[in-house]
Amino acid sequence: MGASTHELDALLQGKYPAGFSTDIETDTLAPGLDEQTIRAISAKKNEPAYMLDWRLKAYAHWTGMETPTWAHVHYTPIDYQAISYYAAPKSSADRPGSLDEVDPEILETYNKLGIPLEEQNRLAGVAVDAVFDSVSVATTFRQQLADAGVIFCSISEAIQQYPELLKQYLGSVVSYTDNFYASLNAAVFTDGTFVYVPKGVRCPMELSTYFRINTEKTGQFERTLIIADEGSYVSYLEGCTAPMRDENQLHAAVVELVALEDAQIKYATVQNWYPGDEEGRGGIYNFVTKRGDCRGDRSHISWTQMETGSAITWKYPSCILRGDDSVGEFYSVAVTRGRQQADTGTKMIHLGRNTRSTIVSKGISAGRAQNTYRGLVRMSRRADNARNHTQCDSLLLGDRCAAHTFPYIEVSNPSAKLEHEATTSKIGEDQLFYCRQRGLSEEEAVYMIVNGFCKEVFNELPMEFAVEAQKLLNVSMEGAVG
Amino acid sequence: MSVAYEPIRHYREALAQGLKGSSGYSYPWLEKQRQVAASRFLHQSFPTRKDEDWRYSGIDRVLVHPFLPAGENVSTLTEEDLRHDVLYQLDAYHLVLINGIPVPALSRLDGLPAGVHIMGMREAMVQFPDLLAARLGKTGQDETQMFMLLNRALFDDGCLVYIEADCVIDKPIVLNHLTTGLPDNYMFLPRNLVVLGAGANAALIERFGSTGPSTCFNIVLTEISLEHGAVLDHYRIQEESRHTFHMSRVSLQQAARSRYEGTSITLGSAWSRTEFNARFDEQDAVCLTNGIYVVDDGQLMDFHVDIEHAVPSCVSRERFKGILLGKGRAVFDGHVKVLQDAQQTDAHLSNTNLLLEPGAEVDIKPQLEIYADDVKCSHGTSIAQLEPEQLFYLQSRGLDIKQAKQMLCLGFVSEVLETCKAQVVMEYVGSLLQREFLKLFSDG
Repeated sequence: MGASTHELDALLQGKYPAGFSTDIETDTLAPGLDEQTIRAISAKKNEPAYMLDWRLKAYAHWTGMETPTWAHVHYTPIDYQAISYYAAPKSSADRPGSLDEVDPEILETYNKLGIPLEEQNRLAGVAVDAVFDSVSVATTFRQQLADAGVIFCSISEAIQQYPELLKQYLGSVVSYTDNFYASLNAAVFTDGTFVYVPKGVRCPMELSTYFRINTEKTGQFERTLIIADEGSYVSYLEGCTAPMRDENQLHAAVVELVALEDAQIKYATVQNWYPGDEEGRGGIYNFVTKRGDCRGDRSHISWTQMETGSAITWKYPSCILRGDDSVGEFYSVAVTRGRQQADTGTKMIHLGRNTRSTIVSKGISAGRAQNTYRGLVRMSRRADNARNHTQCDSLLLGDRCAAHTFPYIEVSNPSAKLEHEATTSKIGEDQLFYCRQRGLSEEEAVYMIVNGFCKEVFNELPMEFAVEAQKLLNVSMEGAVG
Repeated sequence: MSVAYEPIRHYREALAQGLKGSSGYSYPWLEKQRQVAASRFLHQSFPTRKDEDWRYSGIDRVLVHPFLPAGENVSTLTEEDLRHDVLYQLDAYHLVLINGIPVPALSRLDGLPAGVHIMGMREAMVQFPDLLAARLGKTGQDETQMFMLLNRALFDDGCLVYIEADCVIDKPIVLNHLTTGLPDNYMFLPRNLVVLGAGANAALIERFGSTGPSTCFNIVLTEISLEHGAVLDHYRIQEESRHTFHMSRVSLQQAARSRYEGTSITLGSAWSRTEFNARFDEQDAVCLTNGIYVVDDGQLMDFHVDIEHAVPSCVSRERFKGILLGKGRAVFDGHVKVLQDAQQTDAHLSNTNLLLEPGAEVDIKPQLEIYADDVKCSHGTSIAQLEPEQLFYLQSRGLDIKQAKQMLCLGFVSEVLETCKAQVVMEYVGSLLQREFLKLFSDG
């Protein structure tokens, strides 16, 4: 173990490591949501008419919708009129130019976590590809990407510069009528990421955007759209931390992925937003709609996620396997502790022939947390020779936490093959005994076993993320052991 | 009819009408139960596909028929008619119920050992009022399921199986539920109670069959209560005609060290739904449930298994195997709930399906809801086909394709079949399945 238990302990007894709020003057709309708010957002962003139309349609649809209640989570209802729907930093010059300008205490925390310098730059908001609050301030590596023909920019920029692509793809995977939060997002989204990888191009680097929630009482409504054209490949990383505060913050993001013929998209997330205090006060409400459309034959989309943060997580990264021979994958580790609640999983909709999907979900629940896997595998009549394997494992630490598994399986093709397995247990006394007999402390033994439990998923993460994910896991486990 | 048929109104009227009818026995506690159920029924509406519990099993097909309670009826069956019923020929204690009403003339209950009581519900109301007052309707207190409410409000007859403490019965008990001889659109609402005293041991076979092609609806509620150390082997065989609709609930309550082993074979009905609810009241109880379902063209079979571990150290196992053909549809919803403090729970659920023909559909929802940490829980499900290699092998040995399929299907279900402890039941079910497969594979 890199960081000693003592240090980690101190870290956890203290504050949420990323709980700082940068004081920057922001251009913020007054709280409240009506048609005027949407017109204002659209106007501030200088959007073309088609976008405003789309937003208004979404808003009209949203007003007729009700908050979904089917998820296994409990919280006080959100007052959508108490949220400010737009906040943009006035000047990007206020951001730290280098690590020297970052609060040394935070740097120390990063060091304790063993985060490499590169990573620290990113975490501290130095690297300029960050979504800083709601407007992308800048994007790195633009030139190198441009040479390869890859478009990687903020979605507001894309709306201005690539209207044809936007008109064709925006909302084509997650329509503005899809669900309550997706409709809300379509109406009020402020920014996000746009990626277009042209035909036959293998994106020369891992793309990543760093999300931060910064202005108090500002909901974040990110919208991400990634299009991989025929025969292309792209890997995208997304990670989150948020400053500590008392008021619940709503995050309702939408991510749309489109993979055309022979294209492959890998999407990885490490989510570590503020989970609230011991009693569950504060903390982020993370209601996200993520969906990938394997539109072309032999296309491939894989979702990998590490969910440790947020008071409530409501997130089902899904794949629509439309093209023949397309492949969908979902690898997830969800850690809940304290009073965190996570209801997460995936949907694999098999429409094309010879489509394959794999689901590996690992849930770890500690304290008084609720961890739920909810998934759907559907094999339609046309999906000949569809194949799915699902593995959901839950680990329980402590006798007041809970783990649930709610898979839905719908098969209407006689050539489909599907296996689903789920297990729930605690760490075996015999396993612990074995490790302790070899000289490990109980905590170290638990870390080791839990890391082993999650390994299958971490293997799918890009290297940089895998390191962070493992550290994060250990930190999250702290206090849950013994 | 001048007014368009509206299911909910029809059933509400049927309920009001039924409540007026005298059942020939009356107790304040029973009337209260009926009233509670009736008032809930009147204030609710029928579930739709939007209700989570009914997501995959639409009831429109059921509701289009204006079913009415059958009330009194005269059995037209004679022993001669049952001569070819293999099950009826078993060396067992037989209670035959025609259209939900016990028929003493057809039943064979002579020589019951002391302490064993098998009788119709009406008779039981006279003979064992205290037992019924203490046990009937004690499971599923918060009943909201519409069809069960209908049963709770309107049931008139059914049967009681009461085995006193430490009695061991030498032969199986057969409850033979037959529907016959009535015109279309009647519903039957039998209510059964099975009580095994401490240390009692019995094998119970519940069979649902029909002798005619009339369209009818069986709504059966069976409550089972096992006291300390009681052991019950329970077989349910549902082989009704393709014109019947079947809705049944088994509500099981187990005391310490009791053991329940259930096997459910479902082949018949146009539409059927079986809800199996088990609750452990005390520690160290064991509940094993197995099932086989074969679903053919136009059939829908729905299984809801709900196991609640409220106390520590109990074991539950569910294993269901299904074969689907034609445009058949199967639904399997298995829910295992482990409450806080129900430590040392051991619960496993498995559901495997063979999907053999285009147009068949299976919807599975295995759920684990766990609030305790020292538990071993799992579920596994799979959907697959017959392996071409295996079919080829059998064909190369001289079997034709139908025989090969039949053999592989039997092999698939044999794992469950072999758990039948009563040899006679295993043989009966084995031959039943063989006949069914022969029929199913002969047209294809």
